[in-house]
Amino acid sequence: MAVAEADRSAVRPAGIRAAPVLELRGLVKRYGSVVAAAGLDLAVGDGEFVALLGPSGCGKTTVLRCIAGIVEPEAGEVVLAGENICGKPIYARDTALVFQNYALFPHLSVFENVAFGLRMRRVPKPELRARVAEALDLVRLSALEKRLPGALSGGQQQRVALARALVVRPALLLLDEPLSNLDARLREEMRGEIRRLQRTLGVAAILVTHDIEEAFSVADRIAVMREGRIEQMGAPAEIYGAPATRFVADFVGHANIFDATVRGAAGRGVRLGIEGGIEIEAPMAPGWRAGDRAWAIIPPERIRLGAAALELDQRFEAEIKEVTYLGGTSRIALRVGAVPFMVASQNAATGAPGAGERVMIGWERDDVIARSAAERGGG
Amino acid sequence: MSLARLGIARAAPARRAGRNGAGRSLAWLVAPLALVMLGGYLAPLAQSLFGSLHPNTPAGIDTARWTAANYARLADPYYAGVFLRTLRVSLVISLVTAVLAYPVALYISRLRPRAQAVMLLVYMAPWLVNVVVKAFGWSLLLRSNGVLNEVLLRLGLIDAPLHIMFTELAIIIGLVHGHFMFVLLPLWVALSGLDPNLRWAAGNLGARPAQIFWRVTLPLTLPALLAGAIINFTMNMAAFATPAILGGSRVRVVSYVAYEVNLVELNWPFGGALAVALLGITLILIALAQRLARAGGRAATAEAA
Repeated sequence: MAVAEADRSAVRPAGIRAAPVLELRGLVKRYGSVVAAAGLDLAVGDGEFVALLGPSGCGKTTVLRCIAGIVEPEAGEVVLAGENICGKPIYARDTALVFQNYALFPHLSVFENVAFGLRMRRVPKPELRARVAEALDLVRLSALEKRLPGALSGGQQQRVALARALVVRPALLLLDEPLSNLDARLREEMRGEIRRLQRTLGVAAILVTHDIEEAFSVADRIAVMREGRIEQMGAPAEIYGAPATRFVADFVGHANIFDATVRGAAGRGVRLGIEGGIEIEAPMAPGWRAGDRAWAIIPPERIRLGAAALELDQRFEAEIKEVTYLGGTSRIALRVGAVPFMVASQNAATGAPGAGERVMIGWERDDVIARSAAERGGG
Repeated sequence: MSLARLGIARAAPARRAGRNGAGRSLAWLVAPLALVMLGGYLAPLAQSLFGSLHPNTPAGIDTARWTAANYARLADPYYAGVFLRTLRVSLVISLVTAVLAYPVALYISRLRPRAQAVMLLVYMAPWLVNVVVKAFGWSLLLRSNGVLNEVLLRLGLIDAPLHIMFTELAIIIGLVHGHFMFVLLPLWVALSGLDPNLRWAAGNLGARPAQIFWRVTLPLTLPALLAGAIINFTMNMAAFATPAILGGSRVRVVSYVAYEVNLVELNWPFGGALAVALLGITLILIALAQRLARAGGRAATAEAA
């Protein structure tokens, strides 16, 4: 029990002043043999924006539904504003959920969709009108209030769904993959819009997504989920820059992840033998001894190419296998001996090197992220 | 009608595509049915209409003279009464069926798929039994010394047998049972097609189960309910065997009187007038119902302003 208490305080961020708006304690939910939540703990602070990031089937939507009251957890507590709301019916919970498919009422106008929650709360008419108008103004849809949802574009429907959720001034805003049905350009625009609204209103929010960029760009903190557990929780830069597990590293899009063996100390660093034959240096981690299994990441954007690599302490001769032109950058696949590397390179006016050429690649020792392979669990 | 506009709007693009491309080249597939309808339905109907505009003589229809007398005779209190009864009974059956079928459809739509199939089969079973057999079954249950009265008498709930046979109530009971699935099926389709997220969204916004029903589920399935009720109503207006057996000559409906006039009195012109009037009234009422539904839909959307 004492251990569990300690774990819980570990997921609570330092930035939270008072009690968190939402706390999940030991949440458990299974569907047959599939575990959607396996004793999950999570805390969301006042005005904080948390993203639940994970591959499909990791249980993130189930967690959201447990909070909203669509699904009842088998065990654990959902504490909203200091009160355990497990067992409370869906209509009595102070949350507002934005659905993946928006779930707008097709027979009601934009105005009536937004007014729905206020009518249920018996808000007097003048106030209702004012608040709906304010909410529609916030999402810039005032001109369309008489339209039916079917006559709106995807982005407009999304904004109605947001207005409908925000107008009731919930204690917690829940967003279930709200952008996955929009095209790329609109998605980016709506991302900014959601962030702006959340900041303006200061409402605590949880966003469920499998889109790394979405989580990175919107959230204050990200919880990476895997098989019903939180694998790592932290600020976006922390999740990307210091992934706690290989799963997190993989999921947040790192390339150049290698299995390695600790060979021995090298100054203030450590020498790692990469599977495939080369040896690199990495920052020293406490408790490492020669022979330990480890894994290492060399972020593609940190790798220098050609002349720029010559001054670096970590450098290797590589053969270019494939160059993918992406406009501003190129993605270059190389090989150092038998070890494959991926490099993200800024395109210069002189043009990128071609496949088959031999170039120098290099990086700083401190750019290498190395972890013990025995390490497992939350960060 | 409002069906396409409200509930089942998603099917619309597919239908439109069919009309443009494949529609024309596949038109000949409809030809056999069109021929049958033309020869077996439209021609006799035209003949009835034609005949109804001529006087009846002992020698047969006098096609040399035109008259509106057959239609004027419909205003006779006896015939007007038969029409009123037919309308009343048909409307009551549709209303009762709508009220009874809604909870059943709601219940079935929330079952697991296999259970849904079984339950639908149970409710469709009456339609698989011959109308006459069904009606005789009801008469065994409802007659003075029938099962219902025996049970009620034995239980001491009544002192004398209830007279249900040969009343409007008997017709209503028989046809609510017989035409139940025409309301149930469209409702079930509409209810199982509803996005469950809509219910959750309403609940999440603070609506209790009853409020979700009145504000979301019912409005969204109203077009299907109306469509089912209209089909049911036309079937009730045209029903013959069930009213004939359960109502008989004591509570005549239009179809029964038309049968008597045509085949007993052999007065084909007046029988034609009865048939044409029945069809006309039914069509007018359907058109009215649709207009009403459309106005209702507009009112619902206009509520916003």
